[in-house]
Amino acid sequence: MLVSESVLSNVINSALNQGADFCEVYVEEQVSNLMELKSSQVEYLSGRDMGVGIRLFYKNQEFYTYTNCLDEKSLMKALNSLISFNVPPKNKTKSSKEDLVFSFKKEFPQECKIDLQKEKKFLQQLDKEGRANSSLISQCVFVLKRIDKRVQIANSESVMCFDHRPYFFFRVHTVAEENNEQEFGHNSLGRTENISFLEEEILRKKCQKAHQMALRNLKADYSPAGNFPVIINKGFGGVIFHEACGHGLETTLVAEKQSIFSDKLGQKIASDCVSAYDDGTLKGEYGSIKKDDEGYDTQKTCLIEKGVLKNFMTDKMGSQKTKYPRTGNARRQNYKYPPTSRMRNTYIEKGSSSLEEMIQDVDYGLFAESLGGGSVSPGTGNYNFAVSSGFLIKNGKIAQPVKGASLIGNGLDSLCKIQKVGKDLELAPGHCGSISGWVPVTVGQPPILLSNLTVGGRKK
Amino acid sequence: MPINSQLLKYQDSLKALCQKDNLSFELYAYRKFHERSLFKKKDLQSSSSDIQHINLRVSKENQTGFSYTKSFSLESLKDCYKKAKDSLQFTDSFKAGTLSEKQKYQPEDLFYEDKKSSLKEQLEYTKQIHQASSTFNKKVQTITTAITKEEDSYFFINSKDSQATFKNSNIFIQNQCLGIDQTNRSESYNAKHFKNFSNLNPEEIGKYTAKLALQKLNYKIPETKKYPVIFKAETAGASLLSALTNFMSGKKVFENLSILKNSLYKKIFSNSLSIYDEPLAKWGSESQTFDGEGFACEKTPLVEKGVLKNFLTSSFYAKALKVPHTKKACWIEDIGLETSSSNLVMSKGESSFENMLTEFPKVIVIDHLKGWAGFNPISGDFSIESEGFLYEGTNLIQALAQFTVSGNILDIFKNILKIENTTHSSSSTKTSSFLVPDLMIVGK
Repeated sequence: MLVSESVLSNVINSALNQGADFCEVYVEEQVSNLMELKSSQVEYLSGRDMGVGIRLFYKNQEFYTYTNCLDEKSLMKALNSLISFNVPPKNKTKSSKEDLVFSFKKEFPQECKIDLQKEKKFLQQLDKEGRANSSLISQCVFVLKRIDKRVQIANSESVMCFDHRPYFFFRVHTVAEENNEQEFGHNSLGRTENISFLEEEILRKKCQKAHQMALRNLKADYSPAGNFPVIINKGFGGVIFHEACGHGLETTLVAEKQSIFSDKLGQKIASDCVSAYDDGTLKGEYGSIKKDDEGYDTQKTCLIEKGVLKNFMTDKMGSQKTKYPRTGNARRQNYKYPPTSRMRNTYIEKGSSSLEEMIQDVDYGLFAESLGGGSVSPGTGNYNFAVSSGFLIKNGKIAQPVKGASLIGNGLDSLCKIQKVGKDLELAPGHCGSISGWVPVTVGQPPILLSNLTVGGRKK
Repeated sequence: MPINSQLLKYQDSLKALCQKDNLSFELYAYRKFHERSLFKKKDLQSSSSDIQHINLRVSKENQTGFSYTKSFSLESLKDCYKKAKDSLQFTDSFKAGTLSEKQKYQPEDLFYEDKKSSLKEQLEYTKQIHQASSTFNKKVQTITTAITKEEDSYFFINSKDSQATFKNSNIFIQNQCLGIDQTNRSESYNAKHFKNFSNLNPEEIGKYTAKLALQKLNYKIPETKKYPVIFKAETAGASLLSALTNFMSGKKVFENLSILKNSLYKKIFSNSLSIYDEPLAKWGSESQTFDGEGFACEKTPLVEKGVLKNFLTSSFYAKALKVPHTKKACWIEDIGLETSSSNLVMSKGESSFENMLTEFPKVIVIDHLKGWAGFNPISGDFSIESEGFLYEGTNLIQALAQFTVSGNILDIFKNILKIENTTHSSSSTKTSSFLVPDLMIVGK
């Protein structure tokens, strides 16, 4: 136990006594291990982070405080600093909750033992293999990150939840150089659960793709710019749905009627071929959780079914404000952030077309083989993301590789431009940044064909 | 309790541990307090924090190891020391720097202003900004208004008995509005930084954000072609300046990840461009009297009259690259010691803003670069989603959105035609708007 039951009860009761409608204490401890190989040399870093976040509701007003000091005196001091924010002084005080008994005890598993020497050798081997691909490869960066996170959540509704959340993340970044020009390729893998996971062959394949991408981009010409059909590849291509639609379905914005989807529940917002889910239950996926950061069970949530908006993603406050049911989407980066509704593993369900069929349908367009990151303004629905590896499509066939393209559009508009959805669904890990910090997620989709998108580039 | 009183008592324990293992140490710690009052529509969502952090580096000959912890207890520090020793054992990049000697630092409260403002006053200002933007026009909603007060203390000791501390205090204001009518939606964002509340004009901030949302509501998508572009100082200009100086990082140069690696002392930018890093500036949010290795900070010319003058270096990168040591070591939580700029200042030019507008028949003023995912951190190429305004002479013709601007960051700063004769401050930059004659704009 990170903080004793009696201290948690005292903090929560003190908050209720001072008029709060709801009090939650989130306790977190995490050990991070980071091994990075760059310039053929390994660096290793490990550290420990711990802290407590206390959240109060006064009707729809929300107050939050956090500290690294875990003793009762410091927690009470933090709580009292928070109560002073409550501008209209509360006249009534509530009686403490007599039935607030946290009887559930849990021993966390031991910290995972990692064979650092073995991992170091593996990274050195990957570096050697990467550089053997071509003399043009000037830099390989490999990052192996493990986070062993333990959380304890207690609230004034007698919830007491413990969760052990191990994360494994691998990233490769390759730089190729010729005539003083540099380009890069990248790939990654993220898992939860078994953080001693080191499937060498899977990681090796990821690296090969990154090396090939860097070398291809080095030789590629700049992408033409304009409006034309775009095929977005499976896997991380799903970031288009994440940005164009997903953020707008989080009740953090929906509750304030500031999302373009706020009043669209039950309405058609996408092509018939689009069904989409946010699923926290997928075993081992990077965005999977057993409990959300309010201690609520995770679930598989249908967002869009055959083009019709079916559900929003909610946290406690979002549900309280909108009256939509809780979906277990409350997430936060760590104790420094109050939770808000956030995505988990979000994907477009598979359809019936093959990638080949889609390519044959396009006379002139872009095949976005791999995407980088992106962002959205949820209030307007305008989004953007980078194409890290692309090819032109000419006369129904893949033509030359192109670089430097970005894709921009509007969520509502783009969802209706999806003409075909492939049958080969793939998920890919990423880190999503929003008001409750950076959280691990997966995005995913089969290949999809959009009738046209604005492709930003340097050539007309 | 002041941070130095809390941590100085551990100096002997650390020394003893290091002596036993024949290691040297550097400890860099901070304690940060914040209070934020935030209105989201009518609902108050406020927060506060009390956070502490220790970074520890141990070194032996030319090897180093790092670790960190969030607890200031001796037990945690010993655990942190053990982890740093493990790090040293498994690290084979030989990046040991030079231990800083005892030296003269600027006064520890150089950047600290005792604001003597109450929480009640802070809440009142937040409400006033929120109200000013919410009541500006019925087509404009205020998404969020927040005022954050921060007070930070930093502390450094090493095994050579170097010891330093400084405090910093800042006030950050954010105001975000949404414009909505039957056909369009627009967003506007206004960020301000102050050292105290005396210069704060809540009504001006609120109205400015709301007016911007309203102006952008009737946006159009520009035609795809090349345009002369002015990057507005506080927003787009400041972002581009930060992106450029990232390539001046000694760490990136050492790791062969910078397009500027072969450009030191060469004239690669416009004659009119000069950029300085000013860690001792009292106005900046990133001010510091010493860097992550305990070296006393000083103003550094990065670019002067178009010539690249310095990289941002720590003691190791300066030695490895055989370039001047500019004392720019900085700690990144759970990553380690990096190199970074503090407050960036771009020297002002000679043209008025109006003069720049009239240089060409049509000019696009970009005030928001939104899609930084479209920036290639290796080649400097970019294709970024943007927002702005079309001008014909000094006449504002049309708000613009849903377009990208493309090019290469080195070309931008090489091809600057004119720089505004006024500087504008954001939290850690002082920049002027600048005109670039020929950039690809992709819209419809």
